[in-house]
Amino acid sequence: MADEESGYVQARFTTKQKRYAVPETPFSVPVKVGSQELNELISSLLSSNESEVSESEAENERKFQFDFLIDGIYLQETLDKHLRLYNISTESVVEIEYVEKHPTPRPDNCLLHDDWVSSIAVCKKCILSGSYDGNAYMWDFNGTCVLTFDEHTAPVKSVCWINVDDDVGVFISSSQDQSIRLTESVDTVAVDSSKTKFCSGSWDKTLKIWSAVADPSASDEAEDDGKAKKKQKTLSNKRKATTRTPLMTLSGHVEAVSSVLWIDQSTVCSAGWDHTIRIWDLSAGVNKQTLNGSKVFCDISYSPLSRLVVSGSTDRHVRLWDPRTTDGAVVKNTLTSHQGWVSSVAWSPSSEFELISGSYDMTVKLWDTRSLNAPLFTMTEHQDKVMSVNWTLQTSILSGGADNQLIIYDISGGGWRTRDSDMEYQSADTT
Amino acid sequence: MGTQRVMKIVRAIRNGWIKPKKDEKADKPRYYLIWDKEDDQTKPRHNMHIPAPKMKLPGHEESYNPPPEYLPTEEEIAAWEAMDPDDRSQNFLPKKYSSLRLVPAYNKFIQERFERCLDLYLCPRQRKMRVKVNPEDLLPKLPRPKDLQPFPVNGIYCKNKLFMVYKGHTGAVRCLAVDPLGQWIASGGDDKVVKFWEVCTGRCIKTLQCGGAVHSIAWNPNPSLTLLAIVVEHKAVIVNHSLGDKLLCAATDELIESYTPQGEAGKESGVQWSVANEEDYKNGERLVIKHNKVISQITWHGKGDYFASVVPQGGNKSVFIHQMTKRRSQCPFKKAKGLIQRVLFHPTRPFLFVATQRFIRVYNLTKQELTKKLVSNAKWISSMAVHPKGDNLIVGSYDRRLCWFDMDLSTKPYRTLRSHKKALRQVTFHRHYPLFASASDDGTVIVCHGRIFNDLMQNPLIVPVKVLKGHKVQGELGVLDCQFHPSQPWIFTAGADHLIRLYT
Repeated sequence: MADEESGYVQARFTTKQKRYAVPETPFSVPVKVGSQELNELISSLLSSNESEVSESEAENERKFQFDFLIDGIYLQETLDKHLRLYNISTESVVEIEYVEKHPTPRPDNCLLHDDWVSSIAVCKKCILSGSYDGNAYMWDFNGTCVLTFDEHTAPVKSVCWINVDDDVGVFISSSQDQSIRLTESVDTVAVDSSKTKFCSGSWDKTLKIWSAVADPSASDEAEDDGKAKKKQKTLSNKRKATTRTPLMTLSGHVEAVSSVLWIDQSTVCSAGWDHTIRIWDLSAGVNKQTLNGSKVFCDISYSPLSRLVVSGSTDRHVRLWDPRTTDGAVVKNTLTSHQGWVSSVAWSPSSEFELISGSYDMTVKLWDTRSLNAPLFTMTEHQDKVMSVNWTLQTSILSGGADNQLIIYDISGGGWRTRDSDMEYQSADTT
Repeated sequence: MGTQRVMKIVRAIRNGWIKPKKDEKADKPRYYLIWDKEDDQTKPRHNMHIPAPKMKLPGHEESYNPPPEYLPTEEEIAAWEAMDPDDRSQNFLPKKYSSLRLVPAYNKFIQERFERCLDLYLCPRQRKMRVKVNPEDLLPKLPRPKDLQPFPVNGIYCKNKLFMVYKGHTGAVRCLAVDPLGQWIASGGDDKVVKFWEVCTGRCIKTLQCGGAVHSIAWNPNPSLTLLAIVVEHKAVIVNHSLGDKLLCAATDELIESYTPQGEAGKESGVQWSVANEEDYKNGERLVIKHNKVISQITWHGKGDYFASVVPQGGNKSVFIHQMTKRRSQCPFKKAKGLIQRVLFHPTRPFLFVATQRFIRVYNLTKQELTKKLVSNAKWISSMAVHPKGDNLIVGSYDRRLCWFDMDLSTKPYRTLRSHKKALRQVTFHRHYPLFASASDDGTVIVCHGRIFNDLMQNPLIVPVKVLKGHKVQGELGVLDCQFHPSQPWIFTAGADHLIRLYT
């Protein structure tokens, strides 16, 4: 009996990708196999299906590689080890889901800067990057520098698009010279989805909400409440030094704010050096919720698909947080593979499982939250600390680092992602 | 015995108060087992008796007709004969006789009996009272380092990677100062420059040419003043670093320029105040205080207006206290009591700690008197740090010691740690966490947990928690300075290998 069990297991293969569907009858699979053998099995099944249609197409299909999931967890070892590890019974039929293997990210282009690349923002047409030489650069996807903005006198720390129309793009940049052209070495800015407000977090422990509507009348000399510090804000594209007061100042962090983002129209999430992620309700102007960590946060990212916040911190872990839970265990998962500070994180725009993280150990890693033990891919093209990563377009990952490079990785790889899902995303975006 | 007393006893017997002695013989059954009980129990008098060890009973090899496997081979016989008689495992060779009749008399019989008797009466037999002591129980109960987190670690799994490195100096980094908010650090070294770094990215923001090796650097503890004091050989320079809030920088400059000279200025000999020349002013230098001899150390008072400098070769004038806003200096001591190594302001009270080679004197600055003299058992003090609450002091010395003084307790060290292999260069306390660290020429920094209890009866708890390695030793110099981050449990270390490291 035991011998029989160790030999074979009944498995049914399912997939959500219709084009690769195989018959639902259970197969008897030897348990010693890994994902590679399963791959061969699936491709042979597919080819036998396709043989009726046309031989050449079947040849095409055979090139695709698959990853296998059992109960939502990636199969990384042989089948029997996996089943034993997760305590799955071998008596009943094992459901194995397979998805097309994530295409390998391929370094596509490298944009050389004069100094460290501190931040990246992407729109459909061009790339915006902030650099430590105090300039913000705009690049097209061929790698030529379209524009250079040299308004700042100190390193640019963060850049962000406000609005991109057909020919006019509005962006904001924040710098250590305290201006957007902004306040006291503002570290981070984020624009909300309605594109009328933006938020900034700073080393003076406060978050400020600003109006981003280009309103030239609001040019009065600003005096910040309480501290009587002059805070300036200039829309760089206007090249007109309009100074504004923030709409709202949120103080609550006891240390510097390192990252802010908008969750929805009236909710801002911020992370700081005081080991907390705070969620702010803007309509009331209060700190709605505080998630306590144990290490300094460098960056956070929020995915509307999975509704999770991912954080990178000064230990080597990437953590997933669920802001909806109010009790105890808010750290949902910890992804550990980096060897240095995790300086930046970004969710995939199209998948609720995928995210990337950049670290001071010179690597960018692509993760799938269904495979917690190891990253899917590790990109080691950078020669120095990775300062910023971006994944706004699903075809490309961007990373900028202290080696003055901005590297564009092409992850389209020619899979379903770019064909059907991409179209869906874009249509959703336009509506 | 009087009759009354007899009557009393009789009455007592009658009433049953005194019971007559029982007849022992009546208790004993007529027949009983003689060997019912063990010897020890029947004769408690002899419980110290130790029976002689029993002789080993003969086995197969002693047999006159042993099984063939017990018979030695030729080689075994040769080996046995070659052996020293004391080393032999058995003092005979098994031998086979076809019948018992042929067995000769045992020739060693008398000798063996004799030896046995000698063993029995010459060898003292006594019970050893063995006390079972676990050596670990003798050590004091210390909490596990794991329970004392957070403290800086460099990560066992990831060599040289978890901590940040600030690269850029071309000579040994002598000194290090951290911005009171923790956004910047400044470092100076033998390469005659002061560099400013951004903590979270490791970027060198600014480099200041100083024209001489920088031996001490101190950030103004007042967060509203953007000032830094730097020691360049004979000069103490006040620098406006212009990092952070521009309005604060401007306000600081205003404060410095608001000085109006008074008649008595320049009275104190030995120092000379001046404003930095134009070129240096552009670089951020504001005030220059020239001393007669080389300065070894500079330190700010907690409020950020006064600062003290140490001139070890200055003889009677080896300590100066300067006031920045009034541009005034004074020499608080008439006579030098030994070679002064370090001075330090008390964080809250008007005390000044002055460390000479072996002693630390605590002066009350308002009363102008000596309040305490601490005796370290070190031979040459190199560094000193005071606990943020002000009642505890740690002192590092060139003879590898770290002494912790509890000033309420005694003038002698409460505890001395000798964990470093070479001279200590710097000791420092964390501002919030119960941590202190010592940097040494052996290239390591030892981080200790030092908790002070509000209960005065409870002694401070000192537990070494981590040895931070990473710096290379260059020319007998290892780690030259270490400073904690003001709010995080992080430590910056400056090494002779031109690097600054951050352990998180």
